[in-house]
Amino acid sequence: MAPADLSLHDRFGAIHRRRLLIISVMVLALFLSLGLDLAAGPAGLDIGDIVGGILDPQSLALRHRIILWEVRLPDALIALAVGAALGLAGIETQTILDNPLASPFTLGVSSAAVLGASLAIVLVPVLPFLPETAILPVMALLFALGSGTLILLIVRWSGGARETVVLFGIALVFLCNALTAGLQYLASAEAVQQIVFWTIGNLTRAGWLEVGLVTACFVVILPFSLRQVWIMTLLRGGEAHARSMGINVARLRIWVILRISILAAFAVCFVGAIGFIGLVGPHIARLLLGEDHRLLVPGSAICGALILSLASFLSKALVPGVIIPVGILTAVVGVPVFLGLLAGRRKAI
Amino acid sequence: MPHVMRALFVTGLALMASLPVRAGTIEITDLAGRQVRIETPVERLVISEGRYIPLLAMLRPYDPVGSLVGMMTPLGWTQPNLEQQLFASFPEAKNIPLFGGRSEDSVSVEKIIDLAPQLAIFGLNDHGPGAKNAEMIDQLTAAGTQIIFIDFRADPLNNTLPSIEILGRVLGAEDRAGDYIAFYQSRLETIRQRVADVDVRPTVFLQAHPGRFECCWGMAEGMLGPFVGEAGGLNIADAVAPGPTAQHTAEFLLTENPDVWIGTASGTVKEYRDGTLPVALGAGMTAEMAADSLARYLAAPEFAALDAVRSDRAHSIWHNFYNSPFNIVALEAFATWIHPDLFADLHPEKTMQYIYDTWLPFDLHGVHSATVHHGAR
Repeated sequence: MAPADLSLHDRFGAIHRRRLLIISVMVLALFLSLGLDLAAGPAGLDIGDIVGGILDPQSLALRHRIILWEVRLPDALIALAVGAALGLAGIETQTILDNPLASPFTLGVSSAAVLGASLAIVLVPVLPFLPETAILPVMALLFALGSGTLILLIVRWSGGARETVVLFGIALVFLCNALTAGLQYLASAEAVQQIVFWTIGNLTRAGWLEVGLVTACFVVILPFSLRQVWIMTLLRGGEAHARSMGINVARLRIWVILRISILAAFAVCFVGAIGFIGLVGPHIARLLLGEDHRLLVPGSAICGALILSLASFLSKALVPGVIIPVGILTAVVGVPVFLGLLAGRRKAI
Repeated sequence: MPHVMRALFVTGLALMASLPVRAGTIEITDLAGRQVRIETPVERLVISEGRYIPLLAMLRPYDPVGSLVGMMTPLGWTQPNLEQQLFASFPEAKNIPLFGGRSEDSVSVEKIIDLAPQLAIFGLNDHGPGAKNAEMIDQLTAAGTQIIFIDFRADPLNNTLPSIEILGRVLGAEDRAGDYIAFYQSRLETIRQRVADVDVRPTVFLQAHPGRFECCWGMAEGMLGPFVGEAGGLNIADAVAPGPTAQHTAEFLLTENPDVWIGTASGTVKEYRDGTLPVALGAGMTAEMAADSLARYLAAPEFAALDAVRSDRAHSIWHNFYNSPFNIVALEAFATWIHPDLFADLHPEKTMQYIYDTWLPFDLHGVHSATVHHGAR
């Protein structure tokens, strides 16, 4: 039956079913990637050991138990949580700013996090009620949330004009980068190295607490995003159009930017500034799923999680026994997928 | 050494120093392979890192900072305690101008030229200007400053003694340099001879900056890495690391389960007292504190499960040995840890004390190696 023979309703149904199928395939791919990530590493653990060890930790010898529960599982799960959070924050940023080049990092969130982390590394502040190991992520989080607050103030002050928001965000990025460079100039060689490592982004520094916090953040914020998928879809038709439909865009922008700031701040504060996912995850999802935010919002989160999970697998598998920081690999994984999809779309046209 | 003895010793050396030094020209091939002609005596000298001051002090204990007209970083950056001793005995050391911050790109060539040194002593790859910095080399040479490169860091096994020999010639202290080199060589030879007969090489993981850097940066071909093989061990990072250092997962450690674990401790007594994580050694640290600091770090589950930790074969070594003429102490420590039976007669802490007593005008403070003991915490 040729598509021309179908009614508009049926054709829409067919497209929607196909997109649901695509999203199911993406979920399946995500599970496969998680399995791959869990199976990778120098210890000779096969799939049976891993599944058995997850169901019954006592079935494994001490060192294998620690490898599975303290090394592999937290690293693999934080990849999913951070990837999903950045993917979700990415799609919301691009839509709310109506800018395909925007990502959560455009708003200065990650640069501020790097500045906070650098301050923690160089000045080694002692904060009350906090163990030493928590100071770095807490400083990164506070600075990231601080930059989010600044952006929100600017949004309010400017009446929500999106160019102002983007320009202010970029200015904030440059300011934070300059201050970080200034700190590096003063810091010891070891501290400079630490800052560089932190900036690249690395999943191995995450434990169960970090997995729990980032996951909780994502789970709490996702329903708010899902509640506004219709409005966000409408916004894709243009700001003036959305306004004419009675939507208070300025108010919407405040809520969305609040969500983005919190998501991105939690995503980067533990693992470092893992770029690129918040930018390209949403684009890959858009190429696969179209503009309907009912599917695009969860799809973008899945894409983000998938890219980071695959990058996590590669970071362990490329040079066995050695870790290549995952921040180096996200673009290496994401760009070929992205270019492939772009090329495919060109052919289709 | 008691202080009166030291005073006599220093006075004696000062008398010797007041004898006229023969003037002339010496030819040196430095550690970058460059041929350099130097007019002696060298009366104006700059160094890149303040941590070369102990080396100057070894060669000229009566006047460690004499003719030193500038440096990039002060000694206090890496050894604040030693700097205090230096200031107490040689107050003029407080006024040595600095010509940079903490890295090569922070160096002001103009400032160096303004200091008008005859000679600049830089490290092959320390934190200061490197041998590849052609522009700075040209500028300084044109301004009449000769440059020689020494090295205790990139290839300490091969470059330590040539570096000391060069400095001995430059400073007119060939005898003292020769004495130290003979001492170093005899200690090195002892280890080499015994290791030559070793059948089984225990596996070792050498971790840089435990507690300061995240888990687990290993030293392979670089810095202290080759000391593991020299001391009769098998460095497990060698087989996998693509460069001199690399980051390994905790899983790599748990899977390889090395016989011996060694961390290079860069923590300070202040960090230890604050309860922070970097494993600490050096001035102010007692043997008990050092063992406790190490145990604190190794209490994490991924380390506690290692056989090396469970069998008390986990150790810390003072990180500064990685760029120090006294690195023979680290080699002895590695040897006693990797082959405890073979090297039961070596006492690295005593060797360090001997070096200080014999060659340096300073007192040794703190311990420079430690071993985890079960029940220490």
